[in-house]
Amino acid sequence: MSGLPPLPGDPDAVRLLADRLVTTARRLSALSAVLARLRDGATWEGPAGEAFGARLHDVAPVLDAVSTRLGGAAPALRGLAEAMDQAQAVVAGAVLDVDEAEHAYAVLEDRAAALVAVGATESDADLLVLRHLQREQVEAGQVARARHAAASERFREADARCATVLRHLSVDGLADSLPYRLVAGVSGVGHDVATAGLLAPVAPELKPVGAAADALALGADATLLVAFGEGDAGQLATGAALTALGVSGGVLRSGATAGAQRTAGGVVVSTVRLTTQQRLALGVVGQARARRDALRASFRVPPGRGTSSALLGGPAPRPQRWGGAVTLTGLAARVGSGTRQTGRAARVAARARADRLFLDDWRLATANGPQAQRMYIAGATLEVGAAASGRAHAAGRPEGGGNVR
Amino acid sequence: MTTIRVDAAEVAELGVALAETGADLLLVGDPSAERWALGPGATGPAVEELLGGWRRVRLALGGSLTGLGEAAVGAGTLYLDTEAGVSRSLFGGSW
Repeated sequence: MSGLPPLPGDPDAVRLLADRLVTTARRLSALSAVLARLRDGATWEGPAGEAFGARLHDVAPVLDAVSTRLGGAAPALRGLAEAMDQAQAVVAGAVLDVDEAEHAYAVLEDRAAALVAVGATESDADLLVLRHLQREQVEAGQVARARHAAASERFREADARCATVLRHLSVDGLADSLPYRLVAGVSGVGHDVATAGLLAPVAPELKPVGAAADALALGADATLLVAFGEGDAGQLATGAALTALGVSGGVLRSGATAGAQRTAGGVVVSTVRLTTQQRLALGVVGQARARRDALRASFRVPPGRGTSSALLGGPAPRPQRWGGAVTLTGLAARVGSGTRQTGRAARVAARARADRLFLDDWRLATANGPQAQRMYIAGATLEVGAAASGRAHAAGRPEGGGNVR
Repeated sequence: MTTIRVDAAEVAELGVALAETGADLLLVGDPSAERWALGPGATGPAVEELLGGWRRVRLALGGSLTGLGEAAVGAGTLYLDTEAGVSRSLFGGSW
């Protein structure tokens, strides 16, 4: 074997990464443009509307900065992929050529040794030919090694150019500060090492390691929360504290079950390890999609992303579809009419379905671990409390009052 | 006077897009997973820095977007009217 190293890396994966970065950058940029149009074209009235508008003000520039950071990396990465493609082809050919030359040299050496064994000398014609052929193989090997070295050098230069561009992009207003990196790093390492505690039943000596790391991670998480205001309170919180964050029961329940799946055999397994903050975000997405779908159904809007209004970047507004003003009562009737059921049998069946759904979700949350279980219980408790509160409020509400959210 | 009307489903669509983007930002995985493909040079660490070196802003932005998305979906049953660049309320408005 030549001992020449191959050139590691996967040009297709680098191109895929570049494509993903471009897609993400375009998506963020488009979202930023929509938010900017909303920000500039609308005047918000009322405290909630003003707060919403103010947050749009804050978010759009950050989205643009992220888009620049990620999207700017794509050309450099594509250039690297191209250089890697070419260099790998040359390097692979050179490695093969050197291997073949060394093998041919060895075969010629065997023949020369056989001739010497039967009395031939270095001045004999046959041996001179063999030595000449061996020199040719040595030269072929040297040429291949030179090609290998040149291709590797060209790749190193391309790699350095790409890294320079990426490092330049990374120095922006988004970059983490050094103190933050230190604390976040301790948190990550602590959580990773803390998993050693899970091995305690089979490796008791790891138990104190896991406990110490867990404490270290907890301390770092608390620092992240207190010093940097990072919204990861849920990581430290109990189920009761989660409810104090102001999230809805549906969000908690949806987030608690995220990442767990049923296998074909009916067994429930957890496929991902998520933090509480990530679970909350997934819960928000799940609830948002459900409410969006309910709205689509009630308004009969064709599915698909995008906005059609001029304010959000689309064409002129459609004519109003219902002829006349929409009233709260009318909307409530429209939304409610599709789901209202009457009769005792329907109520019993609905109750049974709800129980089954609850148990199914509880199994998913259980597969996600104790933290997800606490979140699920908190969500279910909130929902029961909200329903009871709603009934009590409805019972005591005068005719014609209320608002729709 | 020109009136631009955004209907409820559109606001809800925007809310879902915001929430999904926010969740994606919060769920970004370990950037070192990409490193093997980038070869032995300096690009691997540079990509890690590019993708992972803005954790604080990423989490804050993700949280903001999910919050905005939730609020927008919540406001999906309201009209947003704009008259000559002045809209009526998105929140607390009436039908």
